[in-house]
Amino acid sequence: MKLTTPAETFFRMRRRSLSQLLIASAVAPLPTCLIGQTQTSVSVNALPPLEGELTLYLGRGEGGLYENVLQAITDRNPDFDLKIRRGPTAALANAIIAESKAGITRADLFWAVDTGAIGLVAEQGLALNLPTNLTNHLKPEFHYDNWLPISGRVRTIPYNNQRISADQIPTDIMKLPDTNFQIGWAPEYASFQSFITAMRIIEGTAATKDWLMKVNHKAKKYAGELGVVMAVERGEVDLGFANHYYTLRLKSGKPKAQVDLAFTNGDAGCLINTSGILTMKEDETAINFMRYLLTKEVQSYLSTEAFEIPLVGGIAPPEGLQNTESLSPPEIDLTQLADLRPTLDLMRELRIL
Amino acid sequence: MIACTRHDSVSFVITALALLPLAVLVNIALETDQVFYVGHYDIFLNTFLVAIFTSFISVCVGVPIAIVLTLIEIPLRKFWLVTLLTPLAIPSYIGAFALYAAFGSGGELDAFLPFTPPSITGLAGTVSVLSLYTYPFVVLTTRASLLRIDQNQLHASRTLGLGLLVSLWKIVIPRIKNGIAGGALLAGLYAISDFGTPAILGVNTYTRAIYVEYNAFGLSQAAGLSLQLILLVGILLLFEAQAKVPQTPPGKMILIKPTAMQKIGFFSLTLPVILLSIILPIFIFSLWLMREGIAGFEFFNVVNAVSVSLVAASISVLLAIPMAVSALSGKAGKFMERITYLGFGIPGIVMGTALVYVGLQLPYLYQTFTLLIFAYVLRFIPLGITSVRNSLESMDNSLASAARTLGAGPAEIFRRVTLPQVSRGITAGAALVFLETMRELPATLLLGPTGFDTLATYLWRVYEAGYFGRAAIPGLLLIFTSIIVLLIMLYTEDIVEGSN
Repeated sequence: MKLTTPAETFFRMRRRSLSQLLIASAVAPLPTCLIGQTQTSVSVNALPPLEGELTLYLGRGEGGLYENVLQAITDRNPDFDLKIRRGPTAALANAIIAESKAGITRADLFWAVDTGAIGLVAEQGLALNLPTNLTNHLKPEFHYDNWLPISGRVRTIPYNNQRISADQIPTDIMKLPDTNFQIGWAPEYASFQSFITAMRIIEGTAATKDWLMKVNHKAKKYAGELGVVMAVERGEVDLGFANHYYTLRLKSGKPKAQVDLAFTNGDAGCLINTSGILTMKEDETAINFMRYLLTKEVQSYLSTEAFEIPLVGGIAPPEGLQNTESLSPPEIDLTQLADLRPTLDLMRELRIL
Repeated sequence: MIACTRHDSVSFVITALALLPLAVLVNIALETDQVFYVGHYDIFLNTFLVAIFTSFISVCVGVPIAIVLTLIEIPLRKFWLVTLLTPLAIPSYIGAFALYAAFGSGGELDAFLPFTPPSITGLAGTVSVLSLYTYPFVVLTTRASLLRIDQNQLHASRTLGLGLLVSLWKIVIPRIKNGIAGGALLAGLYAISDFGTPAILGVNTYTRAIYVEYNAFGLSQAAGLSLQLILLVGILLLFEAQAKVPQTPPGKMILIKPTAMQKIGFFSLTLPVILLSIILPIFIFSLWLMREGIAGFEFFNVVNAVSVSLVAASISVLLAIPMAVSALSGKAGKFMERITYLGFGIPGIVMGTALVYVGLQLPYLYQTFTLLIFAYVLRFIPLGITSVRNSLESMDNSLASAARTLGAGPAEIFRRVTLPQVSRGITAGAALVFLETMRELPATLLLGPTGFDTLATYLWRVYEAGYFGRAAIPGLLLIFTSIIVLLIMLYTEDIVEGSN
């Protein structure tokens, strides 16, 4: 269960019906060649219809807009029976592992909001390898053998544009604690912990501990990252650490909001993390179902409505975010981010948690 | 004595089943040796304070309400009773969230009120919210006790010149301590196992630490922390045992006719509670509903929720009767009864995961209604036992002896003498289990058949998707269906009582 503050209600995201989008498009001839296409998005019209029955464990957290995507896909494919079990991401990952230990298979697909849960299930050897003609649709940095990233989010530094300017903010995340800025953070938030895990992997434990200690001295703590962004906007703090979409959602509801985004360069501070799906069933329909999630329609929908970063080529980034090509995220295997334990230990040792 | 042994064996089976998920948790927890860390002391203290203060405030709110609704003649008594019980059907995270959003500077109420209402956060906020969603435990258990006391004594005390309040304090309260203690225990246990409220309101309790661990895939750590909560459960059970008093024989029921001032006093007492726990959350969600617009809602969620809750409630009280009899007839029975409480103090999501492991041992039952109902019963049977036990304690045994002398067999005695006497306790227990099941979330999500939705799971879906306005309709439905079902239960109680 994600913690949200009341202000989330102030951002009334425009939610267009994806069903209309998917259904309205007329039936087009099948493409001559699906295989070999790389990094480009296809339209749903180019995909074979789905048939049969699949059980999807939908690990929830952010957004909940996936629900609309699934509805649109099942509406479009009347012969496709999709059974959905919803639950908190970590709870479903635990259930899948318990099931496999007991030799029982119930889930065919697992769609999770964070890569940690994906990593956990994949570690147990439960995720099947995916065909390259599926993974090839993604940008190369998001190619994984046994799971499919669906949409991304980037770590950012939201700052109050009345109090400071972007060029004052260091582009090295490790230098940030040495500035005099007042900082807001949400250390109990899962995405923040993933960011620290990435820092641990890239910079080492000692440097990360030092960083946490310095920030802890001066930072103000909030319950969630939406809270951090709102505090930045109100001027309670100069800057903070948050996933990009909180700022974009705030600005879409309140265009004059006094907050902008700064990015660091090639370090954990601009980590791109993703949601992802994996399959546990050797099945053509399961693979084709995953193809739907990478279509132009679904990817644009997640970008415009959920402010998520599209991971296939040729789709516009969410409004308010610079072109994703100009971001310089660190090169890191996202499934490594499942190794949260040392991060929590470190944060506890410093009495941050 | 043969009947007793039979009760003991039922009791033994239920206790053994209740211990299963705990054994699973121990097993999971043993996978790590890292269970203690710095800052633990704060967490323990915070959780303890939340539990104690929630119990205390629940008693302060619940006991007067129970007394007024049981002893005093006011119009629409049953309606008031069920309305005041409905907060038990509303998930407390929804309540916490609505109150958090309503209060404070910039909150929803700020625009409607001439002053800025104080914000609801921290320990005080958590205790307030939890009390608002747990006082019905106290109302129900206290009412069951009140219905069994001899009110001729209250009548005598008033005739001898003591005022109503003094009489209540000196004559009634000492005789209903068991009921009050039972309700306070349930409120305290709920408070230490509640997941959402302390997290939303920013208090570092065990559940918050468990939440961080669980989300970070530290299932072992989460299980270990949950088991430590059992220590707190033990402390609460000790407190409850301390508060126990021997029961006096039951007697005649008298209704007190209140003066106009006393009626006003009653309304001023209940109004804030109804406002804060029922009307305000619904108002806030309706406000959001108007902003967001109405979207589809599947009404069969109501049928699902009511049917599983009714089945869980019936089975729970059926099993609670032998457990309560056994608890009163010997030390072994009492010990077994105490064991069943342990699970009630463990956060639902951890318990849900433990039950997945248990359920997987029975592959044919995994993700079926049978297993889901089994999970509900295991989790909520203490609610049934508390209520049934309290009414059994105050039962007049001379009636059963008289019936036996007159030639009635054990079955007939149970049906015609015992059952009518404990019917209030049975209704109270069934009502508690029903309401708790209506709002249950983690077990429903993890153990129910795939695609099975109740009002609580629907509420959770819209809540965490950020469509807060859509919580208004299921929220209202939770309240209305609860009122209807509880009214039916209360009338059944009258029929059973009437046949006595």
